[in-house]
Amino acid sequence: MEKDIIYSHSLDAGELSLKKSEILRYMGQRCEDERIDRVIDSLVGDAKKSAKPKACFVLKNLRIEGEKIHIDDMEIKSKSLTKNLSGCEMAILIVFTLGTDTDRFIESNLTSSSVKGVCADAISTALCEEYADRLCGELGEYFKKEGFTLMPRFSAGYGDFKLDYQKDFIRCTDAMKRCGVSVTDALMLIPTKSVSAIIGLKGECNI
Amino acid sequence: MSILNSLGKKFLFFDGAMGTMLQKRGLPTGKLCEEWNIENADEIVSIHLEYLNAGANIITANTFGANAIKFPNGKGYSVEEIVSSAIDNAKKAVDLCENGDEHYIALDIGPLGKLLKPFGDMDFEDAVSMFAQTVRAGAKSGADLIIIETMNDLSETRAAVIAAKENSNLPIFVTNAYDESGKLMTGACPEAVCACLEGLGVDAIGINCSFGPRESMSVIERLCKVSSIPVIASPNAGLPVFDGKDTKYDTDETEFADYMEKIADLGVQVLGGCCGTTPEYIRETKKRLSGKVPHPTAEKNLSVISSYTHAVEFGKKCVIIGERINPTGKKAFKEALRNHDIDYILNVGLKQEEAGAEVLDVNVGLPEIDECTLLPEVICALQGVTSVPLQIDTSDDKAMEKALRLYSGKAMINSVNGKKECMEKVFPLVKKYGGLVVALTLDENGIPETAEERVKIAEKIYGTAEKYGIKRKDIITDTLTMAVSTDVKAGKVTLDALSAIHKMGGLTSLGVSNVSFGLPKRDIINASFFTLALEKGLDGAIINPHSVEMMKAYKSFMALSGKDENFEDYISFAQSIETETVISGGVKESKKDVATLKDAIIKGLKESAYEMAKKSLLEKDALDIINTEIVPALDIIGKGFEEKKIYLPQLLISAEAAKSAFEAVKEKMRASGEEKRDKLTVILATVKGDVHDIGKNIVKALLENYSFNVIDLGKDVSPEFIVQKAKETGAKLVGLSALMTTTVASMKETIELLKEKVPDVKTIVGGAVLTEEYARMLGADAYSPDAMGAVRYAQSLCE
Repeated sequence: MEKDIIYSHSLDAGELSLKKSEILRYMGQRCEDERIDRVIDSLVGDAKKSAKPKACFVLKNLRIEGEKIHIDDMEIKSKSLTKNLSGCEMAILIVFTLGTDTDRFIESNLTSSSVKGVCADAISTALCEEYADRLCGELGEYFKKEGFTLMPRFSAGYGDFKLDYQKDFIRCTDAMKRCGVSVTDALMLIPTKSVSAIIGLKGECNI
Repeated sequence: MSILNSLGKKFLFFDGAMGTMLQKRGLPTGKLCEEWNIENADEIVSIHLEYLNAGANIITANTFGANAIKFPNGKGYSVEEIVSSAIDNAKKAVDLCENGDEHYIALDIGPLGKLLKPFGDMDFEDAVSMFAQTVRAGAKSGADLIIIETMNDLSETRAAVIAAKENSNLPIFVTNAYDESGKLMTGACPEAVCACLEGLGVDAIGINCSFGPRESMSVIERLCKVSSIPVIASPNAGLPVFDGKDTKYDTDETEFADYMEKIADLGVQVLGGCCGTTPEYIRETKKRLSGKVPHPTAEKNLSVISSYTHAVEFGKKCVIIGERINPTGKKAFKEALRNHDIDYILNVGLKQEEAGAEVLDVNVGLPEIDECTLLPEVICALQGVTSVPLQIDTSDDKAMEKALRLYSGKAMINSVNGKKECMEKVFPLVKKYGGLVVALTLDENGIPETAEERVKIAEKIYGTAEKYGIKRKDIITDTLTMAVSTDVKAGKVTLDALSAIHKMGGLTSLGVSNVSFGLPKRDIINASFFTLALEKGLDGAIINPHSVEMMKAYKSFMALSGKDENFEDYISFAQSIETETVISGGVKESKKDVATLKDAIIKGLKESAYEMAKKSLLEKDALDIINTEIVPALDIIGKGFEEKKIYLPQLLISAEAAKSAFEAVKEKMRASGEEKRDKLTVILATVKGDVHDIGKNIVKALLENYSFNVIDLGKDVSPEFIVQKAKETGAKLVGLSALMTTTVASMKETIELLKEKVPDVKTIVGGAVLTEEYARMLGADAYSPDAMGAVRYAQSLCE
């Protein structure tokens, strides 16, 4: 993988496996209930059909000065991110999404039933996270061979890492064109099941 | 000379990439390339000239991102400065080129980088006005045509086309960027894009960017199959690869030209290149096609409508149009309209889609309703939840225009008729926005009693439409179903007229169910009439898809007439009516488990709750049932939730069961004319800028169960609208939801405006980022971390 080149990725959501415990966690259900299991089971197929997992990412050099991180012309002031990226000289900027069909899937279920809506939302969140984990896993394998370890992915909005940087992430990864992801004026990512993140690369000698 | 004189008659060539060439000339990363129109004009002119010398006929002015988002007013260069300098540079290049070819300058319009509603936060009209600014500047500076390109959302593409049509007379070319699944990023397939853009009257459509010519062929082939206008192909120079130093594309000019030759064979008339292509690519492509002529553009004569994502074709097999989104004769629907209960309407639509409707008729007309506001709102919301096309059904031409303008796709329009005044109002809208229009065979003299006279009116409508430039394929004639109970020949007249139109090659539709008006067991007559109409060649049936008799008639006819290959559709339908299991949000119900209504609600059994409530209503009065069964059941569940013994999804399962019990109560009240006594009116909204509404919907579900009259204003709602609704409805409580720190500001703004304009109204807030303390800082009267808390607060206001 080369620096400053934007890469795109996509896969068939049917390939993603879901853990029911994760889905239940996202919807705040902390005990077994076969009624809810049945609703989830009835929706997983459609959730996977609606989801079109896509990602775009770019490898960048970074420089940390005190509590500031410099990437290209971006200057990020954040204690928590500085901590996360400490010892890293490069990072991947990445945007994942499930696309707008997932939003339509969630909205239509939410319209017909709040139970289904809550389940559809949680299943889609789980799919998006699973996709992100899987792709990060693949990137981790790749960089391991190059002698790097990936730091846990860090998103704008965590700690004092301001949401404003979503805009820069979308711009740097060309996410609107490549994945159809944009940022609203209120700094939300759209489609709603989208994630942007920065992943530090730590050289083995630095660990 | 206009490019339209050559379009389709000879191959025309666009230029290739601008960005690739600018980077080679040292455009720094992060620099807006449009600024070079002014700061480095010579470079731009020289790039254009290289393309012209390579044989390009159309050069794309460097205006891809020349819009108010990238060039806001009062900051740096204006959109007008950028556009006029870009067109000037192109003109200079044309003047310098001496190859004697015909040359045109295209004003380039790219995406704004924002997603439009219902998925995004940008208003359709805001997008139109931003594009309009660019179009006006381009037309004024002397562009020869407009190329709208790299668009990956159908709604934004439409906004750009409408802006182009309204602000210039220039020819409009549109190319979209499709993804590897052959769709736009927001889901539209090539057939849906084609139907929509042809309907809007663009001059050529096609693809650009995304992939190389090899990967683009399947989409181009699909476009060529359905398009009745010329097709454009401007792919990338293959897929990007990195050679250790630079990004290169994996297809060289020779291979590119190999594929472009094949692409021309598919029926493409305009060829060019996108990312990674250089003058050499254009030169080589043009060389291959020299001496050849393109396939002529053939009228495909397809009658197609489309949604945001899908296309539906008429004329192959009868299309089922769901009739249920219509207040006529439906008390509950009328009540929903008055209460601005959009979710109710959406549900009526979703259920019909589930039952087999392929198109949804949308009629929200009531005398006391402002259709001009409500119809577009419902259309937009429906497009956010369903992917079937819509039929816009209104007699108010202003509401029709607003809805058609916003509708993302090519709509069905219900309706025009033979009255001069009606045609004068409706046809200009059909021409401007596209659509398949239902033509009713009636005129100033009313509804003719004979088939011949109805056919005559149809012919008159065809003729008038033609004068407006509307083709026959975009008209579907409704020969008007009349009640047989008042005239026994009525059915025959309708069918004879239908048959005659069908034989003339025209499309036909009917609102089938009117035939049985005044008779008992209407479905029986309706189904037989439907079969007869299908036999005569009916193309579109406006019916109730929940009627099993109608669907039986339809599925059987399709199977018997050979339109259902291997009887697949029939078999799955037959199986579905055999196994009518009761499912409540996925919960299979076993009635023996429940002894009381209270029990049914606690167990979350939707169907049983409804049945038991109905039964109880025979003996007890409504209020009694609410107070002794429904509310106590909800309290048990609510308490369990508050004590963290049960969790939100479980609470909601019971809430839905309670809702269906309430449904039975409401039905009884409506039937007996009893007034529903709501405890309190509560307005709910997700604040401006926030597009998440799941939390708000949960609160709504619970409040409704406790007999509160809930008015749900949806998501991304402005403070002004919330205040207006609070005034109108006399609500005592406004619940606001915000999910992100960035939208809490608009929550504060809303609360302040409410306090100022309607000081008696209480406010309660909730959402992921809020806390009790934060809520107090915002000036809210109450905060709740969960839905039950909101119920408890609302209850406290009733005491």
